[in-house]
Amino acid sequence: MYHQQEEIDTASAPRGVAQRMRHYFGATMARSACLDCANFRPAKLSSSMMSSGDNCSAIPRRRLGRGRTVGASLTLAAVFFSAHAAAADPKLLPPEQAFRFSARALDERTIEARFAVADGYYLYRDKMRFVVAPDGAGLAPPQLPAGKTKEDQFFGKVETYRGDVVVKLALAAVGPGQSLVVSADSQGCADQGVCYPPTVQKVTVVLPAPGKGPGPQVDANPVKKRWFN
Amino acid sequence: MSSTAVRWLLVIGAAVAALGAGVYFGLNRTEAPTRVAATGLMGLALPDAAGKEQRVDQWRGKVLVVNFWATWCAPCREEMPEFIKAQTQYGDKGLQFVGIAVDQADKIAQFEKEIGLNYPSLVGGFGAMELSKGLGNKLMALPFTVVIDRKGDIAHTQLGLLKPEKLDALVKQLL
Repeated sequence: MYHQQEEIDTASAPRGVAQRMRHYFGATMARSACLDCANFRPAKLSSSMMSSGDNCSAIPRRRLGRGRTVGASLTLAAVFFSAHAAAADPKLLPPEQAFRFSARALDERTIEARFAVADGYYLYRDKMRFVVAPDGAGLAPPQLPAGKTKEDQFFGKVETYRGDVVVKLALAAVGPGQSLVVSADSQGCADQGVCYPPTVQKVTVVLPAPGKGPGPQVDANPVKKRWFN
Repeated sequence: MSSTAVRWLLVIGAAVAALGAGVYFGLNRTEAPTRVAATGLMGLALPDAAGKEQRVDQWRGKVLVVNFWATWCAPCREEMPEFIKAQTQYGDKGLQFVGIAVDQADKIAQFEKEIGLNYPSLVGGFGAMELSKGLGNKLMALPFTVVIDRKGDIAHTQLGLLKPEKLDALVKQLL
């Protein structure tokens, strides 16, 4: 019996052509495929390198005469790859990217925590928790914003978050220049019909001197910079 | 554009196409479907919701559907009534469902009663997530289902809902 896999099945994802290609060639390959594009614009690389191939083929080509052949062959190559990439790419993000956590110090006593929930994903309000270390920082119970209430067929009335979720963390016993570790627990799902187990993400935030805030936004899992980001 | 540039473009184009084709077919050759034995899974022993240890290899020789789930996972709950139906329909022909719950025993037991589960569900805790990762659930998301044939080879893995028609086709093919 052979090992079959469905489209949404991530088991095949890392072995998918698109991902391997990206792994081996990075964005270079994507740029090569755009050689024939007239006004070469860095096509935005989203979840898949192949999306740039698609964008690329949509950009009008320069009048190249014989070069058109080149353009056609490269476009064909891009289409060829994108067709296969579509089947291999499950288009599911790892939880730390679906629910990107970051924080910054607003002033010497307040941290602003933020979840950036990707499109097509949601977090459960009642699963969100924040812990600030060291314990002595004196974190007051945070006020979570209201979520969108829905009547879940299994869980009854639940509140969920989409988009940006911003929570202020007020600290009673801290001082300027103090370094704090903010841990955020969250649990959410993708609209595609999968859920992620509870995830903990951490950032280290340094409190500013009075009147010197806010500090820089610190990402728990910074997305690696690519040529086209 | 000069003819030299055009010629260079042609050369580069051909090279890219050749490289692409080579890489594509090269990768695919190594990715040819292979038999994957569910050895790790078969060797597993976990407690059920009542606390009794269950060895997965007690179901060797059956068509085994191992479903990783949790009570906190709505899509998991959604598909389980279909599994119950299939267990009833094909159980005596050699189909065996086994749940591995990434959850606490009391919550599992409560839900089992609620839904009238007619197959065992083992308590995997978060270690079960790691196990599913080894079986191809790279994102460690739920539900994740592994279908194992009578020889103990993995026939299908599914992240997300296993559609009733897909399940039915697989079961009929493997039984």
